[in-house]
Amino acid sequence: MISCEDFERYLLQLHQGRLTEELKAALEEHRKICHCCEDLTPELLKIRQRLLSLVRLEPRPGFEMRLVQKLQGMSQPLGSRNRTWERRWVANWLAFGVGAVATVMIGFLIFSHQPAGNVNTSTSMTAENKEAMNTGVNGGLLPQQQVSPDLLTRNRENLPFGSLDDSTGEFHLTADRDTVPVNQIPPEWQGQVVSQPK
Amino acid sequence: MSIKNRNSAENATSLKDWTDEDLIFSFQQGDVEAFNEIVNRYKNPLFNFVSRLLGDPMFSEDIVQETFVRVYRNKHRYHRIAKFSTWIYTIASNLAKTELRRKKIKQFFSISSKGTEEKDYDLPDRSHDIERDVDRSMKQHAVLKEIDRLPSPFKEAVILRDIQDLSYEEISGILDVPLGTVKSRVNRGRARLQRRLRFIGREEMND
Repeated sequence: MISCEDFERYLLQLHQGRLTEELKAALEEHRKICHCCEDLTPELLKIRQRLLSLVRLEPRPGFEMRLVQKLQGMSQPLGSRNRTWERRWVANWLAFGVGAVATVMIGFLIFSHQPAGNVNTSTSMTAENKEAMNTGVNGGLLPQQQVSPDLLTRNRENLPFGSLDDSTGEFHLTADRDTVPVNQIPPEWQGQVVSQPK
Repeated sequence: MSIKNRNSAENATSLKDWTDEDLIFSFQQGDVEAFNEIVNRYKNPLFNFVSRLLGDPMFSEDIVQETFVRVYRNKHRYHRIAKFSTWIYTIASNLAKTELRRKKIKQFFSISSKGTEEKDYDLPDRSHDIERDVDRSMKQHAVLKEIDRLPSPFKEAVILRDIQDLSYEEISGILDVPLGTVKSRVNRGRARLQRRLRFIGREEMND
């Protein structure tokens, strides 16, 4: 009884017309009892031939020397290996500490330049603010929120329900917001409102 | 005769005739020369295997070196119940698969992409004219590319059987799957390769 490996070898030899009758019989016998080999064709085994003929890759010269160095490094005295580990540990924590301090400082710088009051921006707007803005109530500002005095001049492009005239310094309510009662406008703004559109 | 006290010249000649299992047994007894012979025997086959699996010779050297380090460190874990080749290929295969998973280099490096480094690993062959070399290189490139495209289980089985020329029994031990599964994977891998490589000249395939 031949093995599967022998079957593959003999099948190729059969295809090349160089197989004895005895081996042909052994081949057929194996094919009958081995369901893995029964569908094997010489064509399929050409792939095997092709793969076997691929260029064999080899490591660069000096492989053994590099391996010896690796093994020597592995067998360093325990103390020196521990020191290496300690150095790495200290370096990692040092890097982490520097990163954390830098993050805190950057965060401090960013927030220290924020205006004292809350400004409605797309990123900081809460659902409550959005609702207020949509309904036009208080210009999207909640009653408890404070408005900084320079809000009008800094945000003249995005005023909630009006526009600021640079030449006169007057604030004009927009037509579609004219139903907003003046008493709902933030107190800091009310002094600047000179007229409501008809 | 004590293993450690053997004459080194005598050692060098005799070790080549030893089986792998004898060598590792001798190494387990403290014979470092036996380990050297193991490295000498397996460095090229393992490097070829890992390179074909990973598709990157630079990574492959690290994996093969680590394989020998593991053998060195864990020599007592080997028992004669298994073939030594199965054991060492299993270590290399597991390390390579871990590397593949960890760095996902499979996505970035193609088995067939020949960088400047890989050219250093090719054996020079100046016996043919340039045209024939180019033709051969292109066909080889196509074959390697298709191997790389195989699903991982087929790819590993085909590489072990048809590139490394290991027996089904050994592959079954390395992959830890039944013999029938190995044969099935190899044949299905071959069938896929055959379908995809039809464009390579029929006359070439029929040589």
